Amino acid sequence: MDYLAQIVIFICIYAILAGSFNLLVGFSGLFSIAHGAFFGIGAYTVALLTAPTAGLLPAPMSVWLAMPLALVVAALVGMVIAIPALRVHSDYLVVLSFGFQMVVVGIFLNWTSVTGGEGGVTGVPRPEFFTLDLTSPVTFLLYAAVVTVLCFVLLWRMTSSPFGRMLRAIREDEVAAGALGKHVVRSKVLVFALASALAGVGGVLFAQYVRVVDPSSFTINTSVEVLAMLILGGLGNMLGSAVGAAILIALPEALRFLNVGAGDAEQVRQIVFGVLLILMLRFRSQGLLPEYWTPAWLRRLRNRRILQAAEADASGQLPEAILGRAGGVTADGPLMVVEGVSKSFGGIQALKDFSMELPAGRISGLIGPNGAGKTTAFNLITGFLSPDSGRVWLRGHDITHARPHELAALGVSRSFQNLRLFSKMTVLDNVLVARPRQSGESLWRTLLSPRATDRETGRNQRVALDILGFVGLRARALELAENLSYAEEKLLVLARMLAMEAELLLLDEPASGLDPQSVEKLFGMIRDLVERGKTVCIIEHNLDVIKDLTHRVVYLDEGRAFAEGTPDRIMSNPELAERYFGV
Amino acid sequence: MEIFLQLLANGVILGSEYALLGISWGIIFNVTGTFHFAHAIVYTLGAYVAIFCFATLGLPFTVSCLVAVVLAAVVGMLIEILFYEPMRRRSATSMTILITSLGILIVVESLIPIFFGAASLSMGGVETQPISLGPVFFTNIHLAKVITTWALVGGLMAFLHFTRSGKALRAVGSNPQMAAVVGLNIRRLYLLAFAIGSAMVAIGGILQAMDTGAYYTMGTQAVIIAAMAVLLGGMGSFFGSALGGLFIGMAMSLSIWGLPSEWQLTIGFGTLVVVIALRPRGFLGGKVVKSEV
Repeated sequence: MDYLAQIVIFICIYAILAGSFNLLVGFSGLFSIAHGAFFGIGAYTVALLTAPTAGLLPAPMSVWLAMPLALVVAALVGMVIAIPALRVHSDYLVVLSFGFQMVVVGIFLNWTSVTGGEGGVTGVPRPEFFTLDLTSPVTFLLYAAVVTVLCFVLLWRMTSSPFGRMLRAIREDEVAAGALGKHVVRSKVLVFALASALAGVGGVLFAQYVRVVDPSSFTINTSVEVLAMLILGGLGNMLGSAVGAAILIALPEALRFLNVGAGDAEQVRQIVFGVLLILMLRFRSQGLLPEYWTPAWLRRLRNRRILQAAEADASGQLPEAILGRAGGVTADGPLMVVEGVSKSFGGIQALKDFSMELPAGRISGLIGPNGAGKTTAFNLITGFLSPDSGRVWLRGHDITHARPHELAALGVSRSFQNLRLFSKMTVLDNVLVARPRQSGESLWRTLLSPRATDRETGRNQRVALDILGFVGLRARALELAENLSYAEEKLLVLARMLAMEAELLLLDEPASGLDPQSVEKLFGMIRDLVERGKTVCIIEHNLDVIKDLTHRVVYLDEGRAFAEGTPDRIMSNPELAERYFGV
Repeated sequence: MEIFLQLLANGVILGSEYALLGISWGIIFNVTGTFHFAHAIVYTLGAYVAIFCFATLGLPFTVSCLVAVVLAAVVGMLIEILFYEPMRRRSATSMTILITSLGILIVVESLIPIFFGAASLSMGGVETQPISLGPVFFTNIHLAKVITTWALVGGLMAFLHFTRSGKALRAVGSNPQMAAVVGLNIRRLYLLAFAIGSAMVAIGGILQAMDTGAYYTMGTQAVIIAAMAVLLGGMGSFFGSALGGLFIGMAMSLSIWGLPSEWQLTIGFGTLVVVIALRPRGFLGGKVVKSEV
């Protein structure tokens, strides 16, 4: 019985590790190899603070005080590692975390006067609950199970809330997430600290159960073991992490029963983990439980609820909510003014003293030959690039050096030539994540006022389904975005922009690659939107489209606005025709 | 002062060892973009095979080394053919490829003690002779390490800059799509990068076995130093990887001035983490890799 309880206790500890690692790797796409180190930091902190033999403090600290401290230490160290690494490319995090893992084990091993070196810290006390003592494995199991369930409730809540959806969007495409108004770096650092703290929880349980903390338990091999559990269970599925941990803890125990590789138990264990990793990635990379996997009955229930809700208020009309600031009324004058903006890359001047105005409630076109600087102009006015000189104004506010997520909050939305959909998320989630000002994206509010955020999410879901109805994708709402046709993807891009309630829609070649019918449908929607008060600017090559759709045209060539006027006037200008067609 | 000179010399020796690790990992990373952590086992295998051929089979020293280097190149190419290439074809993310690589590392590293035992093995064959240069002491094997490393680095740089295949490798590294458009055979060039990198790291492994002996976990530490050398030298720069390695060796050697030597690696890694965090573009890298718009 004790033996069985012990196995389950280890499953609990590793499930916490795998779950928190999943938050990092599976949900947020941040690959770190240092999870074993954070596990160790939690374990050592609690051991050094509470064990009578440790000698770090004059007298051992209360267990109840030391436990939260262990989490705080793990979280803070995680943050210190994450901040420099996450400012740049994720490749740096891989190598830095690898190095960090080695440093931590090195400190455990070599700082003998504090950590006890190879022998570690012994005599870690277990917490006491009034009269219940946790000396037997069975009673300790109760405690471990409660902690594990709490961790998983927390993880599940985090990942299934708008906060989790935002993390997945950042994982899929952080540029697009930024354009939708998400704080990419801040979210990544927060999630890294959280995952580290939870690994610390695992460490605390481990230290209290085993009572001996030594460096060998927290090496890179531990990181890889947890990784194997994660891959086996399925990246991005919390239940999968628990299942993966259970299988990979139970499997070596079973092997021991069958007396396989008795002499080299540790090696055999490692080999099993490694082979499993390779085979899973080769043949079933989504894991046993794929990301969007839920039990069939639950899925049916949920989907019916979503689709019924959609049916109930299916108006086929654009929901009022998304009209946002414009509120369906067209303001007068220019919405955006670009004043003498220049930008050069190395020696190449992409934009030279470029000026234009985007009148509110109108469709403007940006045309010009390839390489004229059209996309650069978009990147400048949406905050992805900062101009070398010149000013950009939005409703009279200076937005020259605003960041993408700030501009998104001010009502500027854009599309990308390469779409940048969140391909491993459902169509509905692609739209939902774009909803502005979601209180559920704040971790604290998601956890502390779950009822209010859930109600808000419900409202957002109805709006999102209405938007999907407007663009004609409601039937595909629960499909993964990667399964859509190209035309449908382009409609989803528009839906995502609409969900932002943006006033200004900047569309980079929305019609390219579409068949004439889809183009007609798309342009019908754009006209409809402008009638309801939106302002649109499109980059387009097809002059028929420009003539048909836009109110005014800016002709851009060699980085300068060459001419500005009605489509007819621009196109009847022989000089421009010559420049454009080279005739 | 004498201690300083000795530490400096130690730094050059250690730095040369790391330079070879760095450039051998760097040629693979810079050309193929693969986080080839399984490079660690190629390094270890190089050392173990040479020892096995020489000490157990009794083959001549040079033949043993040759067998080890050729076998390492074959193993490197096999890892590419059997694991990475099929995954890339199915457009697996770089993270899945990296995890596979870690899996290979763990499996082979655990197999070695089962076949060769967990004890440290020594190469033998060349007698260690101390050399003194004023106040500085080192051995003939240290000298061989330094000379071999920089000869290999020089040779590789000449190959990359003056031969057709070498130029093609650099082209693939800087822009694979464009290289494919102009008709370069990407698959073959990737294999070439794996062969060169693996052969070079095997030489490093053999030198290490001659110097301090071979141990089955020697590769893990080596590969992380190699990766850090590449980051430090600047992603995309081949020579930078070697410089990065040299810097790490010097820093590690000098940082233990007055500290117990078991702290060397920890302090060295710590310094690197800080340096890379503060200066992400490295010494010779053109720019920080950021997500492109």
